[in-house]
Order: sequence, then C-alpha cells, then structure tokens
Amino acid sequence: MNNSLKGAIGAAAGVALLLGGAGTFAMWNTTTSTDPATINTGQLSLTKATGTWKHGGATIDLSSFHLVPGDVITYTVPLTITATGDDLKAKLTVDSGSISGLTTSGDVTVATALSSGGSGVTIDQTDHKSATITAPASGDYTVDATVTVTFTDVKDQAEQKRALTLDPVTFDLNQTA
Amino acid sequence: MWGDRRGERRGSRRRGSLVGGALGVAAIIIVTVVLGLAGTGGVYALWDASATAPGATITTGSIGLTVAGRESAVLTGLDGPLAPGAQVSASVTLHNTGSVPLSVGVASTTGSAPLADALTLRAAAVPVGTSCPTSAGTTGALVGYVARQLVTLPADGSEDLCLVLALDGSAPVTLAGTSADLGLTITGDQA
Repeated sequence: MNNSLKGAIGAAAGVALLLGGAGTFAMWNTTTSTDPATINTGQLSLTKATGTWKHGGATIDLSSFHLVPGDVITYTVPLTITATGDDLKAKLTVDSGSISGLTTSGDVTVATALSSGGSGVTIDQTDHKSATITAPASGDYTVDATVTVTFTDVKDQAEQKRALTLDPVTFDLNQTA
Repeated sequence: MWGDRRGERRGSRRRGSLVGGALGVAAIIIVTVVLGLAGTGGVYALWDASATAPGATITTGSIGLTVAGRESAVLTGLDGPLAPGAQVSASVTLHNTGSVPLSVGVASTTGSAPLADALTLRAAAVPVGTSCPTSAGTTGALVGYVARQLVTLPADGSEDLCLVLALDGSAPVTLAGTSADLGLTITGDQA
C-alpha cells in the first residue's frame, strides 16, 4: 500500500470521526450586544452669494462701465463656509485671478484677497489668499472675497476701447484635519 | 561517506525549505501590507468643496475730441479788421467722441510778433448754439495764453468754444495793416 493511499484512508477516517462527534460540541452558550447608537457625521460645504462691483465706493453696472487709467474697481463676493465637526479643521484658498485681452501685460492688473468679520476664521496676513477654520468647527463662517482690478498704466494712451476678460476666480475649501 | 553526503543533502534540503518558508512568510506579509494599504486608501480622501466667482468682461474707456467735427479746423470770424480797443469773436463746436468725460483746455501756439503781442484772448465754453458771453471766460495775452479746465465735456457731449480776440487800445499805429497768425491747441484730458 503506497503512502498516498494510506494518507487518504487516514484523512477519511479523521473526517468520519469529526462528523461522528459533531453533536458533542453543542454546549451551552449565550450572547449579548451593545445598545444601538446614532452616529452623526459632520459637514463641510462652501457657498457663494451674489457679488457686487464697486468704483469709488459706489455700486456700478460693469456692463456699462468704462475703465480708464487710474481707476480701481472691486468685486466683493460673500462666501459662506458650513463646517461641522468636533475636530474638523479646514482651509479656504483663493487663486490669484487673471485678466486677458490687454495690449500690454500689466497695464491692468488683478488681485484677490480674503477678509473676514467672523470669529473662528483666521486669515493669512501675508498675502490674504487663504483662511483657516479651526476646530471645533461648528456652524457657518463668513468670509468676504475681493477681486481688485486696477488700471495701472497712467502714462501711456494705452488700452483704449478694449474688452478685457476677467477670468473666473476659484475658491477651494479643503479639510485639513 | 555516502551517509555523510546524504546528511549534507538532507541538511541542504532543510535549509532550502527554511529559506523557502521565510520567503513565503515574507510574501504573505508584503501582500498583507499591500492589501492593508489598499484598504485604507479611502481614509486620505478628506472633504473638500469649491466655489467659483464668475468671470466678467471689463470694458476700457476711450477719449476723443473734435473741433468742428474734425481733428483740426480753420477758424473763421477772427480775421478782422481790428482797430485799437475793438474785438472780434468766433465760436467753434467741441465734441467729446470718447466714452469718458474730458476736461478741456485751450493754449495758444501763437508766436511773438508786434501785432500778436498787442492782442488779448478770452475763451469761454457755452452751450451749443449760444452766443458768446460778454465777459465770462478766461482772459489773457494771446502769446502764451493758457486756459486749463475751461469746461468738462461728458462722454459724447458738445459745447461751443467761444473765442474773443481784442486789440489793445494803446496799440501803436505801426500795427495798422499788419496781420498775425493765430494758433490754438485745444486739449482734452481724462476728467
């Protein structure tokens, strides 16, 4: 009888023994469980309200406004951050903005900045392009974003009667903890 | 000897199986770690949100100024004759062809000459079609005459520029029958 056959017979016998004795393992047992619990997740969202264009403190209709050398116009848009989380931290950033359609680059410039009147939001004072919402974050936080367009070239008779394109400005809100 | 060689082979086989077993365990650990990392990949996808302020078209302004509908014009009505103490006047329409307000000024380019030195100029802006006023405006010697911010023309706006030229009452008789070339530059600056 070769070894393989012996092994097969042994395995079969073992299985038979296990099957035969299965009933002997049904000993007493009992179970218990934890109470059910509701776990609430937090929230992180960013919404943008309608913005306003101003020139010299007065609201302007950009479609009928003509930018001239020395002018500074601003677009202010309120952002609302809804942040809920016991240890939630988040960072809001804004891109630098850009403008196209100029004859000479730099004749008209764009700058973006964040500002806030609320607590719980810390604006980066170096470039005002980011804001930190610290934990525990709970509720709504308001941040104003401003896009400033400046006609900087006041020496040359430049950029007259042009349609300049101000590219969309993107605000990103990212959870950091 | 044979027995020794068999023993060596067995030992070698045992070492081989030990090495193989170790590699197997290592492979299982590596696979487990890789699977573990793959399983926790989602943990790094923290929440984020974004918003975009719409782009906009910004139109720049322009400036443009015409005299009697052209960039330059010949004035009529100032060609005399003038007697000492007398004056002649003429008016010409200024038009802002730009899209922003213009502050208009007048400067004389008339060179010094015996007759020119005895002339005074008064410039005033009046609504289009209105007669020249009797005294309003800026008065000065014709040679070197400058009147800044005479009037502000709104975009597409017009005014008449009234020019009054007077000969000094004490002008010497030697000026009789002489003439002078009068030149004026009208400037519009962004207001």
